[in-house]
Amino acid sequence: MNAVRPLKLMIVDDSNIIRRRIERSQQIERLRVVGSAANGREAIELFEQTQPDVVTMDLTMPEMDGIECVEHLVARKPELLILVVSALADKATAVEAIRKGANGFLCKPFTDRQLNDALAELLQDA
Amino acid sequence: MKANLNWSRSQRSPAFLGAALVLFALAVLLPGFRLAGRLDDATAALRLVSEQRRQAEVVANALVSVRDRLESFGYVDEPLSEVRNGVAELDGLLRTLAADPATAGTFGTSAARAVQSSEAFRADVATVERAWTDFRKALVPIAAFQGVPYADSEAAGVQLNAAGKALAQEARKAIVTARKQGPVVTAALTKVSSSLEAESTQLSSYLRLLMLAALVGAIALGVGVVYFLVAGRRQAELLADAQRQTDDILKTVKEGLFLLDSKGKIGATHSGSMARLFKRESIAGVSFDELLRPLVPEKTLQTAQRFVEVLWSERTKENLVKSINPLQEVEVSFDTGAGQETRWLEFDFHRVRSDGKLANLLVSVNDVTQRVRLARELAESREKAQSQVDTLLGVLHINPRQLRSFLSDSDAAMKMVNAMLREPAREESAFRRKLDSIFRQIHSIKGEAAALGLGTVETRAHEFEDALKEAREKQQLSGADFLPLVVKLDDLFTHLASIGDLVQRLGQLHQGAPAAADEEADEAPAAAPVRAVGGGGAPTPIQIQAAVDPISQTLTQLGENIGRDRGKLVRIVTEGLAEVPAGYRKAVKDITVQAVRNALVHGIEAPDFRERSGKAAVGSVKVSFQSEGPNGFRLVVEDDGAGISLRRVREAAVARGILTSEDAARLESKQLLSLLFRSGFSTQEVADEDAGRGIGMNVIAELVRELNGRVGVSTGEGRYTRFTIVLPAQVAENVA
Repeated sequence: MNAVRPLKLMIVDDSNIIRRRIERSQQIERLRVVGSAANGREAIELFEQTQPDVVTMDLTMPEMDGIECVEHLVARKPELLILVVSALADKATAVEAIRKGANGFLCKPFTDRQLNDALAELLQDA
Repeated sequence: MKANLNWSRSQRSPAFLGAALVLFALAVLLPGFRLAGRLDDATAALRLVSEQRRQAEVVANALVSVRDRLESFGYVDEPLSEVRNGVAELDGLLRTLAADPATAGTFGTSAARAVQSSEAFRADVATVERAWTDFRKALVPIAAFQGVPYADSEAAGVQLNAAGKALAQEARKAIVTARKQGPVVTAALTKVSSSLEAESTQLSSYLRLLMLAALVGAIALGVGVVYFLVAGRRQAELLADAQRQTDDILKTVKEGLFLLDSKGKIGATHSGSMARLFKRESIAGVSFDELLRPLVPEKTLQTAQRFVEVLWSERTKENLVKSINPLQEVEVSFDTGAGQETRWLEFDFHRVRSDGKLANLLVSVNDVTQRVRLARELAESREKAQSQVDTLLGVLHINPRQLRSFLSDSDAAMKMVNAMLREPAREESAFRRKLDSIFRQIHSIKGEAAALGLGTVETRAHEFEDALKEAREKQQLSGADFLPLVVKLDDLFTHLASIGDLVQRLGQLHQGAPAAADEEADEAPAAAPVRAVGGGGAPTPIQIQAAVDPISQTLTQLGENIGRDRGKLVRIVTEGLAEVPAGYRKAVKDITVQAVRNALVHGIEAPDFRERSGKAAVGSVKVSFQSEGPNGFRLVVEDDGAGISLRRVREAAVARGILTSEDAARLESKQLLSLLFRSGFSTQEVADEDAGRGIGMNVIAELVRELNGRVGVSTGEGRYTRFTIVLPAQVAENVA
C-alpha cells in the first residue's frame, strides 16, 4: 500500500458515467485520474504518455476491442492493475479478459458500493 | 485427518516390528549362542578334569604296584603301562588346561577360553603344572623302561637284572615323589574341577536368565505384534468405515460432486447424482470437456474451458474467479431420444489445495431448472400483470362503443388472418400474397389500436409486423416461415380476447350506474359533449369539431395520441364522416386512420419549426367525405404540413432499385408520387410504430383498389399534402 503517492488511474470508457462515479468513490483518495480514453486505440496512446498504475476498462468499445486492449497493456506492463467493466450477461468476455491478465471484474449495471468494493479489492494488490 | 494419521501409523508398524525382531534376535540369540558355547566348553573341560582328577593317584598306585611286583618278580608290564598312560593323560590334560587359546586346538581352545578368565583357576592350573612337572620327572625313567626287569638263571633262579634293579630303584624314588606331589596334583585338580563346576553353574544360570529374558522379550514382542495387528485392523476398519461414510455421503448427496485434476479429468470419486444430473452411466476418467460438449453450445464450452484455465492459474483470486463463473446458471439440453430436454445446471468451483499447492478443483453441480423456471414464470406473470394494468388504464378512457367496434373489427381481422394462414399455398407468389394480405390486416389493427391509445395491442401488432417483415425479406419462402407468425397471431389474439373480457367485466361494473351515458351519446351523436383532452386546465392542443361519429372520434383520438407522443400540436377537422354508408365505414375508417397517421408523422412539423416557417404552431388535418351523387363519393385527407419531398422519393426509388437515376430525374412529379402507393415503399429510414414501413400508402391504395375506387395525391413541398380518394356510388360486392 502506498498512502503517500496516489496511484495513477486511467479510465477507458466511451461514456463519462464511470469516471464521475469513480470520482465519487471513497477509493479516489488512493487514486489520481491521469486521463481517460474512449476506445482501445486511444487507451494505448494514453498509456504510453501517462504510464498509469491502475486501469478501468470497459470491454464493449469501438475501434479496439477491450480484451485486445487488456492484452496489449499487460504485455507492456505486467504489474498493471486492470479492472474490467462489462455487462453481467457477458461473462464469456469477462473470463477472457481475466485470462488475458485483467485483475478485477465489475459487472454492469453496478451500484456505487459495488464499484467501491471492486476498486478496494483491486487496490489490495497495489 | 485422523484417518490419515492412523493410516501412516499402521503403515509404519510392520517395519517397526521387523526391526524389533532383528534387534531381539541379535540381543538374545548372539549372547545366548556364545553363552551356550562357553557352557559347552566348560562342561567338556569339567568332564575331562573329573576323569583325570585321580590320575595322579592311579599313577601312584601303579608305582607301588611296580615296586611290589618287582619284589615279588611279578609281571610289571601292566602297572608300567598304567604309568605310561597316566603320564600321557596328565600331559594331555595340562596341555589342554594351560594351552594358549590362540594356538590351541579346537577343543582345547574352547576349554581354555572357558576357564581362563578366572585368576584362581590359573593359579590352580599352575600348581598342578608345577607338581606334575616334579612328579613327571620321577616318572620319566619308569615310563621309558623297556624290556624285561628279570634275569632267569638256573643258578640263582629268578633275579632282578640290572635294569630291573634300576627300575625298582626309580620306582621307590618315584613313590616318594608321588607321595609328595600326587595329593598336590589331585587337590589342585579337584580345585580346578570345582572352579569349572562353579563356572558352568554360573554359565547355565546366565543362560537361564537369558532364556527368561528372551521369554519375556518374546512375550512382549508377541503382545506388540498382537497389539499392532489389532490396532492395524481397527485402523483398517476405521478407514473402511470412513470410506463407507464418504461413499454413503457421495451416494445420497443431491449435488453432483467431483474432482477435476490438472489435466481436466474427472476423478474416480464422485457423487452418485452425477449420473442422474448428466444422464450418463460412467463419469470417472471422462474429461470435463467431454462431459459438457454434448450438452452446451460450442461457445459456452469454450468459455467454460477458459474459465477452468483461469481457475488453475494461481494469479487470479478466488473471489474474482467466482464472480465471473460462466457456468453459474447454464442451460443444457439432453437428447433423450424422444426429443430434447432442457435443464439448467449450476456449477460451483472450489480450489482444493494440498500442501499449499493447487491440487484439484472440487466442482459441485446443482440442477436449478425449477428455480430458473419459477423465476421466469414470475417475471412473465409480473409482465402480464403490468400489461393488464396498462390495458385496463388504456381501456378505461376509451369510449365503450369505439372499443367494442374496434374489438369486433379486429376479431374479424384476426379470423381472416387465421384463415389466410391456414389456406394452403405452394408457390412462392402465393406465399408472398398471403404475407401482404396479413400485413394489411395487422397494420389496420395497429392503426386503430394506436388511435384508441391501446399501447399494449399496438406493441403486439408491431411485433407481428416485424415478424412479417422478416418473412417478407427472405429470399425463399416456405410453409415453415409461417410458423412463428402463428405464435404471434396467437399472442395478439389472446391479448385481444383478454381486452374483450376486461371490457365485458367493466360493463358489468357499470351496470346499475346512472344510465350509460356513452350509449346514449352514440344514439344521439349531435348531443355528444366535446371531450376535453390534454392536461387539466391547460389549453388543449387538439380542438375537436363535430367529433360525433365513431370515425371522427377515432381520428381525433389518434391525433391526440400521436400528437402527444411526438410533441406536435394538431387540429383535426372532420366533415361528413357521419354520412359514410355502412358498406364503406370500415374501409373509410382504415383509409383515414392511415392517412391521418401519415399526415401526423410525416406531414405536420414540430410547433417551433412551424412557427419558424411562418405557419401556425397548431397544424391542421382536414378529413372530408361527401357524396357526389352518381359519381360516387369523394374522401379528402389534407394536411398543412411539410408536403412530400420529391427529391427524397427519387432517392428512395433509386436506392431501392425501382428506378435508375436517369429515369428518376426524368419522371414527373405525378408519376413519382404514384410510386408511393407501391408495396413496401418508404422514404423513412427506420420503421417505428406510427409509420414508416412504407406500408401506409400501399394500404390505402390496396383498400381503394378493393373498393374499385381511385386514389390520387398532390403535394406542395413545405405547404400541404392532399389525398383524394374517389369511391364508386355502389359499394363493391367483395367488400360488402
